[in-house]
Amino acid sequence: MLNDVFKQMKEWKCDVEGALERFLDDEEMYMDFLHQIAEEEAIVKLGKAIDAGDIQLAFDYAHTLKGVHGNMGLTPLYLLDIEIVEPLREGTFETVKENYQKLVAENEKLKEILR
Amino acid sequence: MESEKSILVVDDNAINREVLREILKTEYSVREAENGEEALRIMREMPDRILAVLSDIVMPLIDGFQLLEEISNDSKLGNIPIIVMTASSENQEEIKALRMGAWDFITKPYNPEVILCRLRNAIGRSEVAAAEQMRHMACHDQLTGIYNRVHFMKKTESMIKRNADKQFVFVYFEVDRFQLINTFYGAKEADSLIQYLAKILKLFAETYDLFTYGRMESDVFCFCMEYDADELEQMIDRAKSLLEQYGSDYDIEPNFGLYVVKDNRMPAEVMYSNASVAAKEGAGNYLKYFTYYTDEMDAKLKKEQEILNDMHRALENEEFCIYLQPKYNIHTNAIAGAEALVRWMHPEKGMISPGDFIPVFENNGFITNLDYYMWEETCKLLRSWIDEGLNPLPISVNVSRVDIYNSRLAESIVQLVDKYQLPHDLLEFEITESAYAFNPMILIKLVSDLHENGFTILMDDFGNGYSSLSILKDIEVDILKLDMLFLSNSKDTGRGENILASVIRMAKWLKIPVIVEGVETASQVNFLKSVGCDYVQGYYYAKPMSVGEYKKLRMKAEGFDGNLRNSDNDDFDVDSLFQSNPQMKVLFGDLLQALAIFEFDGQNMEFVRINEGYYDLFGSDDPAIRMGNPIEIVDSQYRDIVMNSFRTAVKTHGTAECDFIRYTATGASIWVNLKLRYLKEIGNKHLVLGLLDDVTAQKRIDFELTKYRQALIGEGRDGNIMMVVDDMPANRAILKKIFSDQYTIIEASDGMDALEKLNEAPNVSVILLDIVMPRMNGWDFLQHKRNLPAIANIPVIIISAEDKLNEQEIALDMGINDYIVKPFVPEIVKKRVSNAMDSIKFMQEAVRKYDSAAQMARIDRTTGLYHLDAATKIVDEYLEDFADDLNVMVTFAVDNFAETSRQYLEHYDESLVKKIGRIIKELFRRDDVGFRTDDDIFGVFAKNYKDLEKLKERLDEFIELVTADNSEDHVVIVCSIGAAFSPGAGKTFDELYENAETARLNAKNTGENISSIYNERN
Repeated sequence: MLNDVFKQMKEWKCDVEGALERFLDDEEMYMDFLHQIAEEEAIVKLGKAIDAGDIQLAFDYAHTLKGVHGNMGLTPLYLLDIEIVEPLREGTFETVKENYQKLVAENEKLKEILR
Repeated sequence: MESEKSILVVDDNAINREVLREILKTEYSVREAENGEEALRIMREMPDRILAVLSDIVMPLIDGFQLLEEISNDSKLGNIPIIVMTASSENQEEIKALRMGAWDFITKPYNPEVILCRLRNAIGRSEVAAAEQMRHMACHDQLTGIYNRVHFMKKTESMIKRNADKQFVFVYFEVDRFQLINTFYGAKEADSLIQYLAKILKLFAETYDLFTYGRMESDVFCFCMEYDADELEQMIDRAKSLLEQYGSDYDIEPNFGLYVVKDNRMPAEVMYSNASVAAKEGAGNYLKYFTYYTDEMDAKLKKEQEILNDMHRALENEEFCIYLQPKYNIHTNAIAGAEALVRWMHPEKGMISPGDFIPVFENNGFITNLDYYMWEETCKLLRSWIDEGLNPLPISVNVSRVDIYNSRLAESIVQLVDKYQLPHDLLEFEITESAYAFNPMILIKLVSDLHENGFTILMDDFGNGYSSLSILKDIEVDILKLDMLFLSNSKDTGRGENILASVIRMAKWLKIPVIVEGVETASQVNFLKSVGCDYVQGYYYAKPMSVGEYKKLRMKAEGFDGNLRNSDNDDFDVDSLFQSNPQMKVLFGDLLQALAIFEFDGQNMEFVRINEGYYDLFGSDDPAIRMGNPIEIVDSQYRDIVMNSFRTAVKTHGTAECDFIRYTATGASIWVNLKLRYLKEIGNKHLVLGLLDDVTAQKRIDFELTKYRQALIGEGRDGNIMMVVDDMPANRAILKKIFSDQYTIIEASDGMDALEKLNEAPNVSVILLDIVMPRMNGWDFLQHKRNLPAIANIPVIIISAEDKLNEQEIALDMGINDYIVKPFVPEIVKKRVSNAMDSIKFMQEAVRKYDSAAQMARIDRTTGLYHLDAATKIVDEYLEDFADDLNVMVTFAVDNFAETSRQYLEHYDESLVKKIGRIIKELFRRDDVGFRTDDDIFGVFAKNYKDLEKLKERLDEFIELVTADNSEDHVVIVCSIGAAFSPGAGKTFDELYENAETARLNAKNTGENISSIYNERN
């Protein structure tokens, strides 16, 4: 069961090994947190902040997601987080909305894998 | 010495016997026999004295096996363990030996440990050993194995009897303040020291024929030997140096009391008594280690006897009376009560000081009678004042440590006070801390009983005794009494004050008020105020006085008791505060306390009046005074707190208190304590009185003390604790995984949560902190953390998703210890944390080493002389005031010092350096500053030295003493001395030293062993 999920994630270009190393190979704990992350409301809040045009707030959420996605080895999400963080750091929303949509989509994919 | 039991070694080979003797002699006495026949003879002669037999098998005449046979046939010998020694590795021989009655066997070649072990086991099994043990215990001290008191006395008396024509000396020997060693280092260490002391005596005993010794009790030993003054003093020196070699962290100061026996028929117990009186005289004196019993001591005893004779009559005739010493509130200068002290008005001898009779009464128990009498007299006094319509303040009376043994004490106190129908809070009881040390259980019960009955208890002489601070958690003390003199009378100025300040802070943290007695100067008062002391007692305020004088004093002060009346008068307005109102005049004018009166309308506060004390505290150019809204001088984090205090004082028409940080004119930040008291409403504004104190120093001490808070409450000390602050559970989980083998992890989800958790448990060793978090982010958390002394110094490592350089720089500017990024690489994360922790530990260690090095640098351990820097400082300080007097600087050096002192050491017991140090101490006074430089030049600065002739004599004596051991064959010491007088030859250390050295070099060039005194013509 676990192995299935991990296989799919690896195919999806996730850094499962790196993440497991951080968790000292506690696969179950890693799985628990994967579930948690998939439902993480920071993604929703990011979207709201972008809609409201609040650069600082959006930056904070994106920054937070970048950190945790990185730790969890969710590389596709992590890369998108970076794409969102940089423009916001410069103070602009350019390309942010598009990348955010992609992020949401990738997150859905994660949910799929986990089901 | 009485012949001990021994091991009998049987072997025809002398070398084997020798080898075995060597092995056994550390633990046993050894007898030898060449063969089985001799062995049997010895065993039959003295079966009780043989502990065990070690026998070879192959021997002439009677071999080992035959020996075994003979023994097993002889009932008298059957209990003695016999161990045979076999050379063969064949079991047959061994089995035969065991069958024939051997208790065990040992194979050659000899293995010492095996032999000793087998012997021990065998002996343990023998009944003979058991009987011997019991007899031994009756005569010997368990711990050390030497004679116990009873046996020693007997042996001593018989030795003296057998040598009635000789003169003996009886010596009492103990270690100063042994109790402390026991308390601080534990019983094991104390026992180990006692065994070492016994060994020293054993060593001495080997040198003399007529020598008895034994252990009396705890650290008290006695010995008795033929009297020879020089021998004795040499022996004492030897003992002292053996103790120095003991290698402990602490100094062991021996104390010898010597009684030269005048009448050889005197019982040993009396000799013991005299020797111990001599020892008590000399206790605590570090210059002399021994004291001879003199007839004056006898006189002292007689004096004590007289006191004992008179005491009962004195009590009946009411010769004891009460003197009262008032206690003062340090802030308001108002009297807060008094301590009752006893004085003895002897009809013939006049006033006898308590110092003379109290110790005597404590020793014989009469103190309980006296104390009860004092308590009753105090009750009578209070009752009479109440009956006169006066309003007496509480009086405290002393409870001696002897009183507490009365199990009905609390009862009798209650009965006494009720007999005079006094409210229980009027009579307070002072119990000295040493009473607690000896009997904590009794004390806890007594204090608790007295408390139940509404009495106030003071712990007197806190800090003097041997108990640790944990006593405060066991006993419900109401007030702590500290003695200024004791705690601040140390050579290291600053150190004693720190201790005093810390104790006061500790007490305040425990919400125990503190009174300091022995306050004699204004600067002491200021110091005590600055560290938060509440009450004082001492000559600076008032000496103990008669009851009549105290009554007068109180009545005068009644009008000025310093308590502000509350504002119920209608004609009370701001100006009337300053018109001929004696209270305000006293408060505002004479007080050193910083005061301000504020007008507060619920939102803003304004200064209405300020006193001198305020200007002294904050400076005459304090910006706060000029500001429209002085709250702005308060650090933003604390403004709410301050405002709330004002609001509280107004709402309750009462008092409020807060601590806050504010900035001074120079921009520095200080901690201030503000006590507010509501005065009066005027229209829609309120008048509030504020008392302000600078408590920055206290906060710093508090921070140090919080570290020990856990220990005091008795909570276990946790291992290393790490706090992880991050709003994402996944991140926290990963860090927890990585570090849970090294640390206990506390998690927090944001800055606010972290602060709350740190408040409860500030024992965290390191904090891993995320920056972006809801509610309170990392930066804000850091700000708050910096301002809370308890946690300000905990190292912080930032965790972040950023790897951008400038944020890292900002973080390091904020005082962050290091920086790690997500995603975490476990090895790097671990490394960063351990590097940060190591560097902190390294710093702490360096600071600690520096501190102790600085302490050590003052005095040279070997000689007891100062190092050059310390001496320079001390002398220059002295010369600031006395440079115009005649003081002399002497310098002294030995040619080829290094080589000479090496030679010296080869031939004499004492090192040359030590000898010189000793001579300096002998020839000059205690106050004179002896020193030694790194270049092996010795010197002494002698204060107020007027007599030139005397100096020349001294210098000659110096040379004589140093060169006294000169001998062509061994050591020839060649030295030179120079001297220079102030003010002529200089007014600073350096000037005098230079000129003294010039003189000395002159002397050296002139010839050997010459001294020279500097004058300008040189």
